[in-house]
Order: sequence, then structure tokens, then C-alpha cells
Amino acid sequence: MMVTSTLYMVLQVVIGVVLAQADAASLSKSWENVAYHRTVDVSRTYTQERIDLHIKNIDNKAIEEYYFVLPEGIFENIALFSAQLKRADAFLESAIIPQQTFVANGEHVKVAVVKMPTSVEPGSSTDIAITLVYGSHRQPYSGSVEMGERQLLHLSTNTYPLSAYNTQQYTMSLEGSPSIEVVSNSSDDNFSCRKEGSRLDCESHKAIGPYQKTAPLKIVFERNLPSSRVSFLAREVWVSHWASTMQFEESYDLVNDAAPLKGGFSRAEYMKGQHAMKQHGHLTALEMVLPSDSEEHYFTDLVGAVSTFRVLQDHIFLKPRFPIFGGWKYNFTIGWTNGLSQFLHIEDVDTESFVLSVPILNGPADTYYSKMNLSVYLPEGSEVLDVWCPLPVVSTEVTASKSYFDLNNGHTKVTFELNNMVDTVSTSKVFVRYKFSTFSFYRKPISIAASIFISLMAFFFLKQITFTIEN
Amino acid sequence: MAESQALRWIQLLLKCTIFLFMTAAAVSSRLFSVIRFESIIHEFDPWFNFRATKYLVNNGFYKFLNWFDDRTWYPLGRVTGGTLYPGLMATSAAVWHGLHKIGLPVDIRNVCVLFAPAFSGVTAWATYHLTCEIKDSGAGLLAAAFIAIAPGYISRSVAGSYDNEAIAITLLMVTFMFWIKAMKTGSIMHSTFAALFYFYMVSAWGGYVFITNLIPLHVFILILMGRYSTRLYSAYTTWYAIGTLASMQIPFVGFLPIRSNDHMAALGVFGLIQIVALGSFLKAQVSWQKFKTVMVVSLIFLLLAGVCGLFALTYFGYIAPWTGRFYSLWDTNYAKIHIPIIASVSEHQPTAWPAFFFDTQFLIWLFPAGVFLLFLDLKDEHIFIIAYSVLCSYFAGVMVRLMLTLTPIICVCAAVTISKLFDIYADFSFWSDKSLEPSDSSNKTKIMTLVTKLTVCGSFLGYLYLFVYHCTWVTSNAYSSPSVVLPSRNQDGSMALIDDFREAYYWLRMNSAEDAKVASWWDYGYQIGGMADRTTLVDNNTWNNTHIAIVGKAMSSPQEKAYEILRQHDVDYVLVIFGGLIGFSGDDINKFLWMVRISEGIWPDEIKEREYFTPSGEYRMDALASQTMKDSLMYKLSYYRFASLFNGIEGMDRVRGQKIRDEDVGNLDYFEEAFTSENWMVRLYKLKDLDPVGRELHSAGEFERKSARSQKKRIVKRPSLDLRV
Repeated sequence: MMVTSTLYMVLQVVIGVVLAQADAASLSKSWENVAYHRTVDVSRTYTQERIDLHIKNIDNKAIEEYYFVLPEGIFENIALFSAQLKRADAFLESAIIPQQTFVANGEHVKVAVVKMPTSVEPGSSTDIAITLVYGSHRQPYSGSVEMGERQLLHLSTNTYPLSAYNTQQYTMSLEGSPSIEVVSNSSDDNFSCRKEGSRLDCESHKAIGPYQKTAPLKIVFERNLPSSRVSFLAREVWVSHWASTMQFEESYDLVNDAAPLKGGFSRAEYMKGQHAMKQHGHLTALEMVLPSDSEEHYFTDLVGAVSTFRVLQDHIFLKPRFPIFGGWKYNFTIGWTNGLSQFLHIEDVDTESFVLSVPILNGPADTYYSKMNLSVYLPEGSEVLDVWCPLPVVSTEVTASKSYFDLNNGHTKVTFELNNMVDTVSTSKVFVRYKFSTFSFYRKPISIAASIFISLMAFFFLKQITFTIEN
Repeated sequence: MAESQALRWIQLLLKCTIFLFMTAAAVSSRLFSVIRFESIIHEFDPWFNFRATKYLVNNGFYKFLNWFDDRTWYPLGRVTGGTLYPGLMATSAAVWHGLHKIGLPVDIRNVCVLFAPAFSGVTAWATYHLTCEIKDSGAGLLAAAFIAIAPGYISRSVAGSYDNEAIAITLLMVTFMFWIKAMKTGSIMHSTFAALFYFYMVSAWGGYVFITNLIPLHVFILILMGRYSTRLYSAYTTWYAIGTLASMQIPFVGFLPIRSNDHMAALGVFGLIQIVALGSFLKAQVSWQKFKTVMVVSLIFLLLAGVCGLFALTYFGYIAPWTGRFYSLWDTNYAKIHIPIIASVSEHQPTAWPAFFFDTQFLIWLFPAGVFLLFLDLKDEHIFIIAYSVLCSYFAGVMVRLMLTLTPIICVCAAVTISKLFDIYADFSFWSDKSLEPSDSSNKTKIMTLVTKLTVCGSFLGYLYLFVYHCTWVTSNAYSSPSVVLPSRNQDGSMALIDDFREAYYWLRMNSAEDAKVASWWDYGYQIGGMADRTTLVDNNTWNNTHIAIVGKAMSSPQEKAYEILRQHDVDYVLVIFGGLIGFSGDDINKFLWMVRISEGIWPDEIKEREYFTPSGEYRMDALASQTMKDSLMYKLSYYRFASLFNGIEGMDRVRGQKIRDEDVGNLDYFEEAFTSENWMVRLYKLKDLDPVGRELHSAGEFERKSARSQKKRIVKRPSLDLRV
């Protein structure tokens, strides 16, 4: 039994691998990139790219799907992918095919499909813009810095675009830093860059074929800000119908990816230079925007409460126990409570169904999240009807979890597992539609009361029993 | 009949209400630290207990008993499961599991923090029953109220002080309560309970030896007074047999009850009571004359045989000799001379007189009165209380921390006194007494009696009020500081916390390798293990004096030598506590002499205490400090870069009130500052790696400084060309 099931699993995996890899040449080459302009913004801790495409249908039939190719390295860290039709300034239906990996020129790539609102006739052209946001590993250029020293970061990106189609004209601009320089000494004469203010403009003097192999473009730029990355965020939301509250609790594992200090941390220098007041590669405080009218805030870590936090209106300012310099880690938990009515909508009184909208993030600005678990704890006895998350979810699970006074099955828990997030998605919301009957609502206090009553009665009767041997 | 039934119900209701209020008072007065700070484990030892409890909860009881901890006493490790008293951890784990079962998944930290206050309620209940046996329920309620809020007991049982004593005092009172009941009635059930709670006590605290000796002493005195009875026989033999067998089940205790001198008294009295039982049986059978000769001869023989046997067995090593802590109970100077490590602990110092008043307020002067009143009555159980009072008064005078065991008996005796006073002075029945015919003189006596009674009652009510006030004040001001977090004020007067310890420990936890080894003085071992979760060389379980001396030697040696020692022990970080910037006097420089003394005890040729003083015998840190002092690692690690915070030449040490010169501190070639907390209280240094080119680290440092200097010189030289005329 064991053997067959293992065999079956192995077979499945093999089949899956075969199916998941396909030659990129199988994709049709019906388009041509007339103009391909790439804007790489390095101002944030993650990289934002905008690709303006002027595309032309060179096939002999009308088509409506454009394939956009992503290197696998970017796909693994991608946080956002969207496509816009420039003419109408409207978002296009688009999606990356996550299961399928294509092989082109010996390299693994992923393909995203962008669907035009109407099919484009042969010979005619259109303009689309693609936005990519992804986490990128930037190394400190000199390895380490002195406290307060200018911080240079090193980033490697594609010189030429990776596309499924021919590209006629290719330009690229790098921006978001007071100084950006190219350090890769490429012998490529067809590619040149020049400085334009703080921007770096590059262009290719030659047309580029589909899936053309490219050397990496190495750039060094100045960035005197911390690079905060949350390696794991556990966000828990507790819904209580009795208290009419929604409680949030978030645990962050935070790392600062900025350049580490040269020769250890000197507190004397930190105090004398008043580095606590200066904005630099180290992180002295975090600011988060909470849902309005939040109460009962707390800030703790594994060794107890941290007293250094302030709440001003909807903003919470957290000062970690120690300044987080490059390469240092810190983890902490914060929590607060909001009124339930801010998030809950009664869908139908008769069927007792509710719709809950939960904000996905409340974290600090300019932060990249590698992994995140968002758990919604619905009251005991509620039944999940439907969930919806606007971001790609790795997995969604409905389980039960016991908490205070859960004498029956425990709270119904909905867990969303998400990867690669950035702070800008904090406006998005997760929706959970669930049913919570009046019976379940009253069952809880009644079962608590019943168990207390039973134990008291048991105690009373046990006391009546006598064990004396005499008489 | 119905009326008495109703009265009983009312009494029960009142008693329940009183107990409820008493428990509420006991618990709430212990919550100052939670309300003022947070739910946090206090001080040093509780951090170990907390860590052990977490281990127990995560790994189960059997794994806990077999726990070998490789994160302490590096590289030796500690057989923790076999060298601790598991009672405290087992109880809180049981509470935690029980709460989980009934749908209350409380965090284990909160169970541990609130453990002591919760048990103080039980202590009050046990004290009530004990005092009921001594006098009556009136005295019982008073005693319970006293113990609930007496600072002497609160000092070790505030929320967060998760130590063995937190549960031990409760168990002590419960055991004694059952013993008194058993002794009075001869009930096997009660003495079995006494034995079981004795076992519980053995599993919870090393101080169980006190019960082991006090109960036999009680029995012995009773026998000497000729108060032997079959009740006493059945009570004692049951207690001893069950209690001893049960206590041997604790791994840490093992065969001690039959091998160590501390337990011999109980064994001796057990033997004696058999002989006395035999004697009393014989006495009933034969004539008094014959019995007398038999008794005298056998007594002398037995006494000789017993004493010789004890000496012989101790000599041949079958019975363990007395421990150092035991000797220091009788000779207060013993520890200072022979075991400096015991003397270096502040709670092992003799008690200062004001401490008695501070910890028990007006109970302390009612206490002798209570003992005197018990003498007047002198029942069997009163002898127990008297023996307890006398023994503990002595012990409390010798060691500060034994104040804790004295407090319950002070409460009992004082309650006996006050209840006796109130029995007489709060009795106003004479007013309605019809037997006296109304006359002028009788009216006058009546009024005078009333005035006297009212004065006495009033003044004692006043005292009681003051007592409550005092207790609250002491608890709030003296015993409610977690010592991990220190309170301070902001410039605008608002409350702020000095949280340096946790800041540095947390830095270590987050930013050092998981298997990093930290060397620090043993005081901080448990905290580093608990909060920073890193391996330590030595900790507060001071079982290995040599290992502690190694750390002491490293701290007192010059840096190159210290580096060598620490390197041999795979140390990655060195942690020192420095209070010079904010004036925290409990820092490592003030403890430094103990480090020197302890390591001098092992290496008298290398470390000499005298060399750390100035020629005139002063303990100084400024320019006048001795060269050995200035060279020592402790001095360098404490003051490194300290002067640069002031003018770069000298810095003001606020604890010592001395000026520290930068040139005295010099350079650190073997260590690198890894982290210093906000107020400089904790300083962490990383041992530098060996030089990649294979140079001596000192010469590498010299080379770097020289090259830095020459660079500077070159810059300076250029403009000087213009000056050439």
C-alpha cells in the first residue's frame, strides 16, 4: 500500500515536471515591439519597473493576447504585476502563468499573458504599459560602511530586455537615486548610457531578437536609507461578535539589508554623532498607519513589552529596543483593537451571513515582505462560505483553532499564505463571507455556564459522600 | 436546632467572604510590579525556573527529568534534570495543562508570573488552619490576614518572582498544619497528608531540611518532657516512613535522607521513638524499680552507640559531612574565609536589625508576647510553635533570606497575642450584666472598664490600620521592582523605563550566531540563558567554583592573557555591566573584587588581591589606580571609549565619582565593541578573530594605529612648507 502510493506520488511529480517545462519557441511570434522603454526605479527597498511598449501586430490574423516574458529570478521575488492600456488609461486583464516554466536559450523563464480589450488587427499597433514590482538583492558596494558614511548599493539587472518578440528600439532609464553609475565594463558597443541629471539613460543601437542572451548590467547607486525586509509576517485578526471588536496582532521578523557596520557598533560614536536623529542606513523607528479609531495598542517582543512606542491619531510610531543597522535583525509583535462595524457587513439577516473585509497590511512604508500568513479567526461555530483575495495566494486553508473558552470546536480560522509583498498593497483587502447563526452566538455563553454549573454540582455531590469507617 | 443550623450557615458564609477578601488582598498587593511595569519574570533565579518550566511544557516530564543542558557551564554542561527541585516547574506545568483543558490557553509566562500571588492565598488558608489548631478560629483569621500581606513573605512572592520559595512557604505551612493535626489526634490520614506535603516540599525547595529537623525536634522535646503517647508514635512513624521514602524519589535528593548528616536527626528520633514505645510497653508490664535500671543502662548504651556510629560512618564516608552552607549557619564568618562564593551573595549576609521591623512591622514586638502566652498554656502543639520560633529567630538573624521562614511564625504568634487581647478587651458583655446591682460605684467601674476596653481596642485597631498601611508601602516601594527594568523619569517628569538589560540581551539573541558562547560574571548567567538564549560559561547555579574562577581570572588579567583564556573556552562574546554613565551601583566594577578573590583562591600565584588596590589601600579607578587594575580586562571593557563621550581626555564615572582618563584605558587589540546599550549599562565585546597574516593581535593593532597616524601626519605636513623662510 505504502509502496504503491509512493510510486504514484513519484509518477505525479515526474509528469508534473514534464508538463511544466515547455519550449518558449512554441509561443507565437505575432507581435513586434516597435518601441520598448524600460524605467527602473531604485528609490525604494524593492525595485519598481515600468515598461512602456509600442507593439504592432505582424501576423496575418487579429490577435488579442500579448505574452510578456519574465526571467525566473524576477518571478521568484515578484510582488506586483499589472498591465495598462495607455490609450484608455485602463487596467488590462493580465496574469503570470505560475505553474508553467518555459525554456528559452537554455534559460528558465515565466510567461505572463496580457489580454487586449479587443483583438488587434494585423498591421495595426497599440500602446501598453507594464508595471513590475519585485524584491531585488542589493549588495553594499564596499562590503561595509562606517557609521554615517555614504552608502553605495550594487544592483544587477538585464542589459537587454527579454521578450518573446523582436524589439526594434530599446531604451532604458534608471532613476531614484542621487547618483547612479554603471560599473560593468561591457565590451558591447551597441549599448551606451549617459547621465541626465540624477537619471541614467541608456539605449541600444541595434534591434534585439527574441530571447536574446544578455550580459547583466551592474549598477552602483547611492541610497542612504534603511532597506527593511520582513522575512516573515504573521498577521492575525480576531473577530468577536460578542465584544463587537476586531483585534489585530502582527509578528514581524525584520531584517535591515543595508550595508553592515565596519568594525562593530560604537555607542559613543552613535551618541556623539547624534545618529539617532539622522536618517541613514540604520533604522531607529518604524511608522505604521493603523485603521482609524484603533485602541488598546501594544508592542512586545520575545522578552516582554517594549515601552518606547507612541500612538498619534492613526499612526503608531515604534522605536525598537536597539537601532537596527545593516545586517541586524529584530522581531516584534504589535497589536490593537478596532470596532467590528468598520469591517463587517451584514449580508443577509435571514441567512445570517456576513461579509468581512480585512485590510491586508498595516506595515511600515518602504518595506518588502518575503512571506506572510494572514489568519482570520472567526467566532466559534461560524461557517466559511467564500473567501477572496486580490493578490496571488500560495494557499488558503480553513481550520479550527482553540482559544479562550472554546469548549466546542474552536474558532474557525482562515489562513492565507502570501509571498513577496510590498507596502503599497496595504490598501487592498481580503474578503471573507461566512455564516454565523444566532444559535452559535448564544451557544458559547451557555456552554460556559453549563460547564461551571456541572462542575459546581459535581463538587457538591462529591462532598456529600462520606468515607468514614466508623458506624 | 434550626437556629444553630442557620448560625452555622451564616458563619460559613462569613468565613468564605473573609477568605475571599483576604485572597484578594494578598493577590492584589503582589501585583504592583505587573501594573507598574508589565507581566515579567523578575531578577535572576526566576529566569532559570522560567526557562526550565518552558522546557518542561515543551518536552514533557520524563524528558525534563533527563534534561542535560548543554547551553550552560560551557563546555561542561549541566545535568539540569538531576540537579534541580522540580516541584515548582511541575506545579506550574500542571496548572498550565489544567487551564488548557478547561479552555483557557494562558501563556506559560503569565502562569509563572502570577504563580506566587496565587499560592499566597493558599498560604493564608493553611495558616488559618494551623492557628486554629493552636488557639481558635479568631486567631486563625488574624494569622491568615497577617501572612497574606506581611512584607517578609511578600518579598519573595510578588508577581514575577517565580522562585522555589514562592511555593515552598505554602507547602511549609500545609505540612505543619497536617503535622499538628496528626500529632494531636494520632490520625494516620493526617500524618500521611503531612508526609505527602513534605514530599511535595522536598520536590520544591532545598529548605525542606528545616521540616526534616523541626518535626523530629518537636517529637524529641515532647519525649524529653515525658509527653510520649501512642498518638505521637503513630503520627511520627507514619510521617517519617512515608515522607522519607517519598523524598528519596526526587533525583536530586536520592539517598541523601539516609546518607547526609542533615537528615540524621530525623532517623535518630525515629529510632528513639521505637525504643520509647518499647519502654512504655515494658513500663506497663514490669515494676518501676526494674524499669528504671533498664532505662538508664539502655539509654547510656544507645546514646554512646548512636554517637560513635555517626562519627564512624561520617569518618568512613558513608554519611556525607555537613555542607558549607550549613556551617555558615552557625559561624557567620565561615563562608567569608572558606567559600567566598557563598559570601559574595548579598542574601547570605546576616540580617540588619531594622529589617525585622521593616518586614513585619508591629508583629515583631507581638511575637515574643505570643510565645510567652503559648508558654502559659503549653499544650503539645504549642511546643512545636515555640521550637519553630526559637530556631527560626536564630536563622533569620544569620541570613537575610531566612527572614522568609520566620515570617509565618511571627504572624501566628502575633495573631495569638492579638486574639487573646481582643478576647478580653473586646468583650463588652459586662455592660448588660444584670448580676451587679446598679449602684454608683459599680456604675463607675463599669464606665472605667468600658473606657479601658475601648482604649485598648482602639489603639490596637489603629496599629492594625498602620500595619496594613506599612505593608502596602513596603511592598510598593521595596519589593516590587523587577530589577530587569529600572524606573526613571523623563525630563518632563513622565515615567520612563531604563531597559538596557533587555536591549542588550535581545540584541544578542537577534544578532549573534545561535551557538555563540557568552562569558560574563555568573550573576547574569540565568538572564542570558533566559532572555538572550545563548550559551553561557557560568551561571547562578554556582556548583563549580573553579569554572567561575576561570571567568574571574579572565576578567582580572591583562587583555592578551584574558584573550588566551577566553579563546580556550571558545568564547565569542564578553558581557560586562557598567553603571558609570547613569550611576547604577550594582555594576561589575563594584563586584570586581569578588572576581579577584575567587580566582585568587584557585591561582594565588597569578592573581593577588593586593595589586588591585592603590599603594595606600584604596579601591580607585582614576589616574591613581594601580597598574594591575588599569591593565585588567574588566577595567578596559568597562571604560573603553568612555572618555570620548565627554571631552576625549577624561570621563566622569558617576558611581565611583572619579575621573577616568582615556590614556589609562588604552586600546583594545583583542576585543571589538559589538554592542553597548542606550545607557551603557550592558557592554558587549566580540573576541577578534586571529590575524589573517598570523601576526600577534597586539602588533597588528599597533601597526594599524601607526599607519593611521602617519596618514594624519602627511596631511598636516603640507601646509607647513609655507613656513620655511
